[in-house]
Amino acid sequence: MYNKRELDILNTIKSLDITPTMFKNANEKYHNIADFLSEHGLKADFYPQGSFALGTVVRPNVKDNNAAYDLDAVCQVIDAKNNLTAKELFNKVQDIFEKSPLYKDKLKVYSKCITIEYSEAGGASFSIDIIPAVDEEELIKTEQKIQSDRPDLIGTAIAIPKHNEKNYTWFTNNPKGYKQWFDEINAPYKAFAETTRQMVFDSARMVYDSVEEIPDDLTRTSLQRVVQILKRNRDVYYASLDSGDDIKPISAIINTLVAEMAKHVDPSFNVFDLLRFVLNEFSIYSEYMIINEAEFRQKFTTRRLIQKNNGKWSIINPALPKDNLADSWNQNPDIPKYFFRWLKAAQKDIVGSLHVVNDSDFRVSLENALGSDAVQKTIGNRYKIEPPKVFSNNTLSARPWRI
Amino acid sequence: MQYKNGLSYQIQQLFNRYPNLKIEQEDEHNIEIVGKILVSGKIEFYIVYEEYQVKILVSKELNHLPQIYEIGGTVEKSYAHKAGNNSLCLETDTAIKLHFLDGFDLVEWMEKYVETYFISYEFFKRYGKYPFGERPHGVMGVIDTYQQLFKENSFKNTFKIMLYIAKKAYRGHNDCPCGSGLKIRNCHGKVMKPFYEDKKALEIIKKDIEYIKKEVKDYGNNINKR
Repeated sequence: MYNKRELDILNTIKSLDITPTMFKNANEKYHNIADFLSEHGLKADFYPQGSFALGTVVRPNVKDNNAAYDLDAVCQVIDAKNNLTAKELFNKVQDIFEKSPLYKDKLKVYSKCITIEYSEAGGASFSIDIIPAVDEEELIKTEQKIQSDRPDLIGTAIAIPKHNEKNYTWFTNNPKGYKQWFDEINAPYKAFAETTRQMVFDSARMVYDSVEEIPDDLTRTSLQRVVQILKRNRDVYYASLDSGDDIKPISAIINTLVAEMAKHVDPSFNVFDLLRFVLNEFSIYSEYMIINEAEFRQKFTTRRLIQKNNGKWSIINPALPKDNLADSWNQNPDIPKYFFRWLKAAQKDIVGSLHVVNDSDFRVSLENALGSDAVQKTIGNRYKIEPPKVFSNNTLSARPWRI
Repeated sequence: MQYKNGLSYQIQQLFNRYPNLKIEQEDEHNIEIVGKILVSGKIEFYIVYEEYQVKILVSKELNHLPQIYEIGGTVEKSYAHKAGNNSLCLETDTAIKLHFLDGFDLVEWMEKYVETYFISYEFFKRYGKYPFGERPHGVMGVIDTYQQLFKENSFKNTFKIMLYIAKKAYRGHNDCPCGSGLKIRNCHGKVMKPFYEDKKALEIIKKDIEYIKKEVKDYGNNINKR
């Protein structure tokens, strides 16, 4: 089912995923926090959101291998939005953690969340970013239901306090609705993951020397693996750019676009079938950089996941129509520009790596795709080239001539 | 300008370092070398590991710097950093000549200029920007080279310093030609001295002054004609 190179890629991305032990540990911590809140009189629904909720976690930092994983949670206080201001809600949640002897030393407070840091040995540290929230008001929910083609998802929308320099404001999000949307698309992929488990075991035995090397990609669906691979490749690509962090696409965009594309594809597709399909779709969307928006609409009538209308980019959050995931694209034109450049490089690094003739070229592509350290940890010195010379601004022109 | 340890030695070292190059043909002026080079380098997290088919023309008398062409079709035709004859624009002649005042070294030229060129090209293809900046072409490139050497932002001041070096002896207590009001020894003295210490360097700067003057005059004439 997967050839040796594909298994190398899968093993590498698996090494960047959260391990079963970490997963168990994180779940425990989530439950502990939920219990803590109820014991201290705060009626709240405490639940994970983001990559942990969707099953698409990747180690977050290319430059630092031991950086903590970022997990996200919502602390949805059970109260009416009208009963308290955004500031009061944030402070209420902040207070309860600050007063606790258990949490107060692990706490960091940011403009939108309260972070609890858990250090563990062996690069297994993680932090939980807690977002205080409250059920969104009916007026906003109704308005969103009208605009949405999935009004059934809107009911779980929440209001979140956000702090800028001057004051606190409310803004709306819908992580529960988003998870539901994603899980629906993922469900048929899950069915295939289970039934092919045995097949992979058997076919891999012929390719690999030891069973330990066989990746456990079946606990993740093809859809989840594709999201993980693209998130990680994004991190590696943008790490070589100055201010890369400021212009890289948010994970929500990757999750949304990949899942939307995966809706219409045979769920028996393996990771690389789906990845090829998705990257091909992205290469079509990259025509936005070549032809104008009207030509694009005319030429690709069904390609509506990324829209550009009157110069304004939009990628709509499927669980909340007023949330434009590509909002920052309209503040900084470098963001869409590099987005399509990145995807072109992703095609070369990942899909291209499978077709190069030399094994050393494969290794180089793989390191460019997922990061040298992760590859070294996974396949050791296999196909390794002599360490390449490092080129930086310092090695070249700047050596003052004769001075 | 000489080849360090002689041309034969340089060619031998070149083939030791790049075993897939060989002499294609030779005449009284040039040696034409053809073959593949493997360029391997890393910029931040991006690794380049590519082979290029090249042709190198090495001048026997070294009144010309070597010229290199990429003949495998990897470097796109439209890439900006190629000269009129399609040779690769590695750096200004000035910068390269000044670097090799003590004797030209082919392997060092390859590593410092040619490999960097290809690494830069691959980075540019991937990211759409130059990792190490870029030199303008022609006379602006020469001016840029001296501006960088003198750490001067202003072309006017750069040229004044160049003229001073070409015409006047070094006197540390004189006012610096850049017009700062400081003495030379407390201002651009450090970057001016090397030109006084090596006659070849002085020759280079004198030639470049003439080149700049000519280009400016031609430009002025063209403007006047319109």
